[in-house]
Amino acid sequence: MLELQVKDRNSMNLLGLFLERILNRNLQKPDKYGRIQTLRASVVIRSARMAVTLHFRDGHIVLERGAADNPTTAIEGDLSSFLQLGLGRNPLVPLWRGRIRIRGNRRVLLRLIPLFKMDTA
Amino acid sequence: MTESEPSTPDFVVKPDTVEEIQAIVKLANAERVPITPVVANTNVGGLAIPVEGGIVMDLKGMNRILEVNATEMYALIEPGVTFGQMKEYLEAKHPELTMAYPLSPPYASVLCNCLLDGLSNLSLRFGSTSDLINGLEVVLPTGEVLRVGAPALSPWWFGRAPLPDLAGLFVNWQGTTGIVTKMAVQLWPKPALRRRLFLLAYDADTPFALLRHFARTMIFDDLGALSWPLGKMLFGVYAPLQKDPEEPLFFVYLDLAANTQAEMKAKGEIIQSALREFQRQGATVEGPLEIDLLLRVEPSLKRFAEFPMTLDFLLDHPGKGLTWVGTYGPTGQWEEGARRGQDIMLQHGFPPVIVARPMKGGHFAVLRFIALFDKSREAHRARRVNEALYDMVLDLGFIPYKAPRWMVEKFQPRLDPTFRDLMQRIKQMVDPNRIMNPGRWLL
Repeated sequence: MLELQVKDRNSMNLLGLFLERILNRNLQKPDKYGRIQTLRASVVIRSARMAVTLHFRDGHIVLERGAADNPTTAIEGDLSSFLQLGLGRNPLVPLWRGRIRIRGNRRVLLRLIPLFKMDTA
Repeated sequence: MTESEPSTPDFVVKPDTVEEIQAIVKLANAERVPITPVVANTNVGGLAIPVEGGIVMDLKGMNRILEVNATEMYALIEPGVTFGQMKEYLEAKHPELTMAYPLSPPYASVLCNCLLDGLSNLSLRFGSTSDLINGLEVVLPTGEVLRVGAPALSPWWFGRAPLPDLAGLFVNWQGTTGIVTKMAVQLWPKPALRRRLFLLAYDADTPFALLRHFARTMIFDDLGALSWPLGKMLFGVYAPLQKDPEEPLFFVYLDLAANTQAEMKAKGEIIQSALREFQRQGATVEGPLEIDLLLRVEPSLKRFAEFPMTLDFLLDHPGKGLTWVGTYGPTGQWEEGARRGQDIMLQHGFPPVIVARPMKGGHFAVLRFIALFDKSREAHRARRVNEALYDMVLDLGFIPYKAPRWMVEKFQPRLDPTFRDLMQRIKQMVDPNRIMNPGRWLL
């Protein structure tokens, strides 16, 4: 199991707290985190004006408030589109419609998708 | 959980029938022993604490749903009937009907909530919960049984009109005028469709302007605005004092019901059109976000989306203390109240937890400030912030609901003197030996 550390949780924004909940659930499932155990990257996520950065290093994930400088990848979009992605919807549709924008290394994001995805019945 | 001082009764009695209550009341009246009626024992203002000792009358056991009249749409219930019990009963036996549920745990008493004028998920449509009372049966402090509302004259408990409304002798009197043993509460047709949306508001004025506007569209069951710390507390941050400058200041929730998809769609269009207009005028608001979508991604939040609900992050935290200043007042003073309240809470080291809701079509407003504290060492700090908040809301024309004794002491000098005298005369007439919950309302 990968370990998630939330930096200064008391001042974490709501986007980060929500991500923390999803990550903690999915990090208990090897099929969710298998592809990122060796990942070294910083990923900025922006939505509803809030930003958080996920730092992946040697099997550890640090969740930090705000956008880190020079991230490996940055993804930005509205909350509804992110939630749809969490439910397993095809990411291409919101990308085409401009509701989600990506900068930087897109392959990193492909490796991360299972980590944010909800198991739906 | 309350910051109010504890007090111990001399006796606890658990009657099962109206006749037993009458016998106890007659004895207490003869011996001049105080009686404090209680059900769930959880009132945040400490109203279930027997200030002057005596008898605590625990009415939990009287929990029969005596009748559901589907034609007249009311339920006749005893004091111990809880919201959870009513919900289960209606879902099983009358799925076509529903009732107004509070933002309270399922073990809260329906009768107490109505008598103390609480809030519900239908408050925007129907007002505070005392407006849902059709009739009451009361054991007076002298032992007689009284019926008020339609049942004073009719076999059906259909409403309070057109007789003189003597329910007012018991509503909001905090148990100082008698023991209510039966109540008819209104039921409502259960709509086929429900939808809940969230908006994110980034400035201090937009949420209140939105609430006022939406209340007047008359398309919602309920509306409210919750300040930013509540969102974080939902995720287990006990005392969030620091706000991310970029995150929303308020979350505005919109509850909708409809009988057809077409009706729901039309309501959705009204919302979208209003939002576009607000945004065009420069309001910093985003959404709407479907709560169902959020819950499908994070099902653990589902328990906060159903009524009645247990807000465990308020009740079950390391400090164990919960208090609030809850008020009804003019919607025009919302912004100022919220702004000043936020400053006061931060000055006292509390996260500014603010709840605002329009009531009865927007005719009046709820403004509530909630504080969690460590009961073992912070009760005084909780009291101080409450007092400061309380002075502020009174100046702005708000009136506290379920007011504990210390609040009544503070607003007594401002109260219309004839109103106060009349209350005292009524109390003296109804309860000449002052046995019913003495000390409440300073009576």
